[in-house]
Amino acid sequence: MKKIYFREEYCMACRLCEIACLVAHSKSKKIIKAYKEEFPNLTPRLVIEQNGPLSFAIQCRHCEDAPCIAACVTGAMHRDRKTNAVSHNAEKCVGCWMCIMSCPFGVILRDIKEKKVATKCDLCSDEKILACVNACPNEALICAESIKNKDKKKE
Amino acid sequence: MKTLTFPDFVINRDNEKCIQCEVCVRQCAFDAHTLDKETNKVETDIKKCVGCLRCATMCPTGALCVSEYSQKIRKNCNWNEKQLKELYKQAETGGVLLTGMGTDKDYKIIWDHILLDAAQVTNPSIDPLREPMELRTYLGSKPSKIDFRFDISDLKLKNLQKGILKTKLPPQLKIETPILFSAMSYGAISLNVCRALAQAAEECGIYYNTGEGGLHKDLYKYSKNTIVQVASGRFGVNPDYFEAAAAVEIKIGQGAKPGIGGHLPGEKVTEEISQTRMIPSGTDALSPAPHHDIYSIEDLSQLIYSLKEATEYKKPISVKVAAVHNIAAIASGIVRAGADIVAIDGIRGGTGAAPTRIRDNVGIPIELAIASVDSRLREEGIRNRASIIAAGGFRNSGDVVKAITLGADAVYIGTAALVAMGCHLCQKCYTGKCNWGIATQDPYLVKRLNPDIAARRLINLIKAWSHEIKEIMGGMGINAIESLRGNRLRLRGFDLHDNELKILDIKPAGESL
Amino acid sequence: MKDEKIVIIGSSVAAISAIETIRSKDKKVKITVITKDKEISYSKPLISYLNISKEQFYYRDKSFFSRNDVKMFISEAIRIKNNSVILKDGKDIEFSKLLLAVGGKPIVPNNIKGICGGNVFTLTNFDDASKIKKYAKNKKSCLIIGCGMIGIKAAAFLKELGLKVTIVELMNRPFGSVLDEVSGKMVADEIRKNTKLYLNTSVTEIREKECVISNGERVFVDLVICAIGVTPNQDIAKKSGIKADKGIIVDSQMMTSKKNIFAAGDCASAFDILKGENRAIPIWPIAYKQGSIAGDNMIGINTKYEGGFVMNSVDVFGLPIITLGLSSEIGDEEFVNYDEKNRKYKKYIVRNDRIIGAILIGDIDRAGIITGLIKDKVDVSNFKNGLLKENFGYIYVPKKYRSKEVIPVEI
Repeated sequence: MKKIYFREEYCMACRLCEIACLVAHSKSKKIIKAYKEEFPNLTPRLVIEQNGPLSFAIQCRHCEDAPCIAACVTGAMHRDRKTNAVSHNAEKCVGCWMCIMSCPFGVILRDIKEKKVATKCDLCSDEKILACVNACPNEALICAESIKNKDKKKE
Repeated sequence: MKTLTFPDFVINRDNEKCIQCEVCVRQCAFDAHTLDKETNKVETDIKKCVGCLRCATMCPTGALCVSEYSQKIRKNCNWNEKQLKELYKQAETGGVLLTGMGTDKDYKIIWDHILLDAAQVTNPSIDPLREPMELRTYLGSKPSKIDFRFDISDLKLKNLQKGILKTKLPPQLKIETPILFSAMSYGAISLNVCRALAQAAEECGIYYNTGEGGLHKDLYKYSKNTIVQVASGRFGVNPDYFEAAAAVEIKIGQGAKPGIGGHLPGEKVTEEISQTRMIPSGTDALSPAPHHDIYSIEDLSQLIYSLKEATEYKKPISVKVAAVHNIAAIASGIVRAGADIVAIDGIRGGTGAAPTRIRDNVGIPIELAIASVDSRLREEGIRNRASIIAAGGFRNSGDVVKAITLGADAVYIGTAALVAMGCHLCQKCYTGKCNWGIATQDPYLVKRLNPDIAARRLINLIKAWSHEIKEIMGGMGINAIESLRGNRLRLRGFDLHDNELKILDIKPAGESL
Repeated sequence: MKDEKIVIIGSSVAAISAIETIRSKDKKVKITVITKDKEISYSKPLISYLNISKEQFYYRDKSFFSRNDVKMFISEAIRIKNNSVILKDGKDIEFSKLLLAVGGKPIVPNNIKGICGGNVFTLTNFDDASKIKKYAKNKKSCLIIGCGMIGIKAAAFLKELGLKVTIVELMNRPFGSVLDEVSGKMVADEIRKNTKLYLNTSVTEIREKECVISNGERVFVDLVICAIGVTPNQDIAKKSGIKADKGIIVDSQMMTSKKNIFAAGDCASAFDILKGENRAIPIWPIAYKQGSIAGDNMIGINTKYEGGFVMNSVDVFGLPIITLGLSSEIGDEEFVNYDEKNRKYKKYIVRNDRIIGAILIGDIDRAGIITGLIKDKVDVSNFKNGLLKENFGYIYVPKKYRSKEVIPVEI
């Protein structure tokens, strides 16, 4: 399965990916409208980290052995049977934060603005293009096959 | 001291469009955009804007527009705004004015006054999409004559027809298109830019030039597309350096600052640069104005032959000089000193840092330099002994074609390559705060240039220019760049003085053969 | 594997995880589930939530078992004899591989007078919750024994049902086993904003309308909930000669002392990577993981359980708390950030340059990164000073420790 990866050597922390993510998951999907009208209710699905010059944007790794799925007490966090992605059903989520406790990448976020639910990267489920990858001006976010899968293929 | 100068640019922020996302704040290394922590609003300080347009390019909503500062001083043809600003600045700092890139002074660009010919009726034009076009060029010394022998011991007719070359050819650089990347040193530009240049050179079958900053270990793998430089500072020169090069260039001078040395401030000498240049990290890297061992053509010859010895006569040796008044005689001396290639850099050549007065006032335009050098070498019968690479402000493929038609073998492009990678010619290279991640060693800024993307852009540029050159040649009815070289009959001057026409050795437009 | 007959006792998360794992690899093997629960495949942690939909309440949809071709017996397994499970109704069910996913059972102390009364409840399954809901109608007040995970959930549950709640805790702080003194006090203050809380006290006697507590006070209550905790359910194991001591003892393949019999979930005592020994850790993620490991091994895929450790995420009247590992122990070094004003507390306990425990209160975002560091025993000596920084995140995890999940190859 192809996933989104960061290349920290090219991430300049411009946060355009975050903006694109917010817009892609907004109601209007229009940048100015989303920011001006929906702003407090927007939660990005990725995390931008910075420590000195080092930076990267990280989002759900859609782990094969996903600890968040194991930890979810409601079944909201599940593996999508079609895409094999780790999906989150906000309707089922009760906001117990077990997933936040278990995600080793820290990429599941709290959305406490409307209803208390967890939120995470959904690989832009309703769109064909990945908003963050598309927005990155420096190809620091790419959509690629993982090294893990490649190792497996070799075996 | 209160500054009397006024800003160069204004930044207009369309508040209807601005979403306060702070992308501009994060992108501006000059702090023209800042966030007021109390109001949480983005603020703009136009005094700090250098006009690099990074913010406007990155703004996701297109809310920013950078334009010229419109407040005008009283119009005066002698004392214009630029002059006044420079005076204020010097009165406030007491220093030499520094700048970057090539001169922006309004000199006549002779390229724009030279017109190319095309084939009509009397000779046919060629469609480059249907017929082969040869742009391949060999740079290096060519023998005055070539001796063949035929192997008569083998009586097979097939072999008899194949002559065997008796003359030993001097080393040549094979280029697939007559464009090379100019010398830009690691230190002036970031390693990522060097990587991009090297990758693109490899892909395009051309060469890039390390400049005087040595060769980083990561770039050794591109050795067959590398020209290394030996300059007055001798930075990073060692046997491996020569081993890792296809050719060696002795840098005497550059078009942006003839007669002036280089100065890379200590804060830019990072650990990596210190290792590459072989100098202590954090110390200023000073390139003296002259080579302290070269005071004559004979001295130059010694260095040329030392390098030939060091490279076992397998690699062409180039000598790069700035185009100055006596360029024809100087070039002749260089050729006679044994150089395989003479690189000449005109007044519009770029730089990472130069005193403004030098950049804007010293040297001559490359157009005239090419013509006078080519003519002189022909007159002296030594044109075949060296190839000429012209440099200094080649803006497009038209300029390249005209340079070759005037007599150059190939051109070096520096500024055009940087622009392809993102440079917006803000001329602030010397600050080390290049917002485009090009002329900087700042770890925050270096990351902004992804060498893969930059290399793709460079490759596209070289491909595009090559296509255009073929197109132009086809129109002229010429199918090989060899037939174009020095073919000044196919040029006409327009709106040029008689003296310029004389030096260019071209006829005025309208005059038939 | 054709003739394998897999039988699972229990229908909660360990069982469901085992079924999912088996079915993802083997569509044909026969699976039988024996369960006491009439409401199958619901999520036990959600029994105390009042305002959730039926859809949310079910961990897997109702068709889960039929969709996965699982034969169901709603009955109670009494013991295991040879290769058969004997049910309460006398039926015996033959198996070739058996999984005990029987969970835990509430601890009910026998030294309290009146604990067996009709007004005393436990709260660990759907039936309990239904009974309490029914009983609590028109009642005014209740007392909860124990201020741990279940106690606090019970408190919120009853408060939402409209009752006045009193909690009695034996230790000097709530969540005594996972919180330290400072955070314990902080949480106690938070609890006191919502309910009455007695610390260092116990209930000595339960009467019909009141409780007597150890400080001599009498508290007027309608009902009592005993929420001291759960203990592994090892009844069936003990009856059947399977080794059990504070949990059914399993090896790294989740196999019990008897070949072909596996155990997973709250009933199992498996390896704790922080303690370095077997013990029962009754938490959801571990049950899921163990169920999956047992599932694999039951169909002959050799998979090893690396071990787990205690972690908990709990919401105390709106204040989120996450505790990880040996959070109440003392380490070589401790990194603490206590923001009293904003009700935030962070503590990382480091021993031998490894994080062994953590407490996060208020700001729990990205706690999982710490979980990862604990699990992988990452040497934090180079970045421990960054743990409390505001920008702490995955970026602090040294490149060599970063998961392969973040390294791409093909574009």
